[in-house]
Order: sequence, then structure tokens, then C-alpha cells
Amino acid sequence: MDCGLTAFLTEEEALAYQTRLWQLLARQAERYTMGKSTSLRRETAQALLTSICLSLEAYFREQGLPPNTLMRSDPEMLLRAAEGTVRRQVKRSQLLYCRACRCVLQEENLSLRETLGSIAAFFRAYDPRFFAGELPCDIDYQLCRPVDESLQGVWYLRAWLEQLVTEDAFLSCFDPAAVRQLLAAVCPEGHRELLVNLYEPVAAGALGLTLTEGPLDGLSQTRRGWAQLTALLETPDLEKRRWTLEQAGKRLARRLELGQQGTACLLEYARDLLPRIGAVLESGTDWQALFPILE
Amino acid sequence: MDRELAAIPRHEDTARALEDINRRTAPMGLRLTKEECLTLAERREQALADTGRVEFGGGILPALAEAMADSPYLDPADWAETLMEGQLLFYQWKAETGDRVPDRAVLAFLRKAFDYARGAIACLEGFSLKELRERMGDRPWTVD
Repeated sequence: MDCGLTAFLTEEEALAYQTRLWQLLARQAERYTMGKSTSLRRETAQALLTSICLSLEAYFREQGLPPNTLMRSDPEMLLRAAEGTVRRQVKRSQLLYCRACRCVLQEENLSLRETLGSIAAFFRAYDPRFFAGELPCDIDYQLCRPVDESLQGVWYLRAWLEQLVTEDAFLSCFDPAAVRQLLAAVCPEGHRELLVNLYEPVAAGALGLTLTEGPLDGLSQTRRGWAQLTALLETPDLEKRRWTLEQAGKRLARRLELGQQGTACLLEYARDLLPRIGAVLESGTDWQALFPILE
Repeated sequence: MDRELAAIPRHEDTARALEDINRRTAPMGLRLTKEECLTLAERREQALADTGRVEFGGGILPALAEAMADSPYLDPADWAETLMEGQLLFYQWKAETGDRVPDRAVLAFLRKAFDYARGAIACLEGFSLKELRERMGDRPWTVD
């Protein structure tokens, strides 16, 4: 695994860099075993090394330092400072977690509730000193935009929580009763127990209503709206269809006063809808699964 | 930043550790030849790889030598072989304890087992640490 930092170093510098890392690993291993063991399980040593690298990378990023700082400064001091960076990430994640626990619709989905419960355990079990790359919790709830899988430890958790809060901020723009009704309509098998994302059906419904200029309050389409959607989207020109959806996304984001992240998420989701819209158009324009009419 | 473990252990660390052993045990008539040192270093790497472990610095060899050197059952002619077998047993037992037992305790038991086997260290190989401790009536470690 190479994060690319050493790509800017000469061969000689890269070797010196590895030697420094190796010294740090030996020191961390000694700390971890409290000097009582000269050897470690390979997995433990690997986790310690990953933790060192992630912490240093985060510290260099935060301080705007080049990777060869490790050769120019005391590595022990750098690692201690980097631990501080990781702890700050944990603090920020805790704040985000407090916000996430106030998600308006968490009672609507079991996996979301269980995931939030499990994240509470993360803050008790996470070890920023030795295992910054570990994620001691179970994250099952599916977000609309998956978090970058290359992220690890608290960085993954923070990105996950940020996305959850973004999705929740969007959901909180709508009447919870209407959201529940819409979720029940698009997921008749039971959105409460299944591993479904709550944002997607609501975003689709709201985008549909924006396209047909219908009222967002009840999140319900009409027969007339469906006919309008077919007329708007039936073009064979896929670029035009994409443009239509993106414009609807931008209008909806402005109307709901979404922030930058919320707008980006909505626009990406609008683009993701294209294949599903194409499938509906090919199979006979039954929009109920995407833009439902609520009874 | 390369996050993969590589080049473990380092040969110069092992070489330094073995020189140190020679310096300390020579007065007791225990000396490793250059060839034996080389074999010990290779076996160390092999033992670590076989037991899925990583070790830093000179490793366990100096402490192992110190633990075994004054055994009445040690034949100076088998010194290198004792260290080779001893380090393999040590890493196996460390792996078996799941890292919960300090080196010192494992080494103390290794020495006890060596004496129990009257220096026939190869005889210990067929046993797990648990079996051997039961057989020897050893008091359980508090971490067990």
C-alpha cells in the first residue's frame, strides 16, 4: 500500500524515510508491549505501522508539511504531535455523532439505529495512540453516497458521519409524515427492517416534483405529473435527459437552501437516477417505484 | 508512505545480537561459530515467518542465551542447536499465548522445560505449551 507521499522523494530519501518509519514502529511496539515482548503478531505490527503512517499523513496534511519532514525532525516528537491530530479528529467525529444521533428519521430504519448504537462503542474502544486505522464498530446502514473505502479509522467514521448528516439535513426539509408515507410506498416489504437508504426515495420523489413543478409538501406525484415526467424525460438524447435532471437538482437544492455538500450529493444522486429512469421508460412508464403517487 | 511491513528482521541486528551472545557466553565455554551464527539468523527469520510474528532489534536470542546458558543439562557442543530449537519453541509458545504472557515468563518456562527434558530440547517440540505445562504440573499463569 502506498499513499503516494514517498513518490516525491528520491530513492535515497525514500530509504531514509522507511528507516525512520521502522524506528518509530520499533518504538511503538515497545510502548505497546510495555517493554515485555520483543516480538508481536504480524497483524498487530502491521496495524501499528498503519496507525503511524495514517497519523503522520494526517498531521502533515493538517500542517501543510512535506513528507520529508520526517527526515528533518525528531520522529518521536512528530508522532506525538500526530497523535494530537488524530485525537482532534476523534473530537470532531464525536460532535458529528451527537448531531447524527438527532437524525429525524432514525426510528424509520433498524440498521441506522443499530449503526448509531454501534458507533457509540467506537468512541469507547478506539485507540488513537496505537491503532488509529481501526474501526471498532459495525457500520451497516447504507448511505446514498458510499464513503471512500480507502479511508480508515476515525477518518472513515468522520466521512461517514458527514455524509449521514448531509442526507439527514435534506430529509429534515420535509414533513416526517410525508416521508414515512413515501418510504412505505416505495418499499412495501418494510423500510424499517431492510437495509435501505432513507435519502434516495425522498430525493427521487422531490426531484420528480421539481421536474413537474408540483408541491413538495406531501411528496406525492399525480397522474398528470407522471404524464409530464414522461414527456420531459422521453427524449432519446441522453445528454439532454441528464441536463434536465441536473437542472431539477440545482433548482431543488436552491429551493431547500442546501449547503455545498448537500447540493453536490443531490446532483450526484440526480445523475445516478438516469439508468433507472431509462429502465422505466423502456418498460412502459410506470413511475410508481421512482416518483410515487401516495394514497 | 509505505504501510507494508518489509525486510523483517534486519540481518545487522541479528548479527549484533549474536556477537553480544558470544561475548557474554565465551567465558562459560559457549561459543557460536560464524557458520552457526548465519544459520541462527536464517532460522530466526524462518521461525518468525512460520509463527506469523514480527520482531524488532536483536530479538529474543540474547535473552534466550542468558536463560539457557547456566543449565546443568546444557552440552556446550549443542549450544547452537539449543538456541535454534529454543527460539522456535519460544515463538511458537508466544503465538500460543496470544501475546498475553511476557517474554520473561515464557523464557523462564522454556528453561524449566529444558531442564525437565534433561537437555533433550527436541523432545519438547511435539507438545503444545498447554500440554507441556500440564504434564510438568506447572502453576497456571495468571493471564490464563
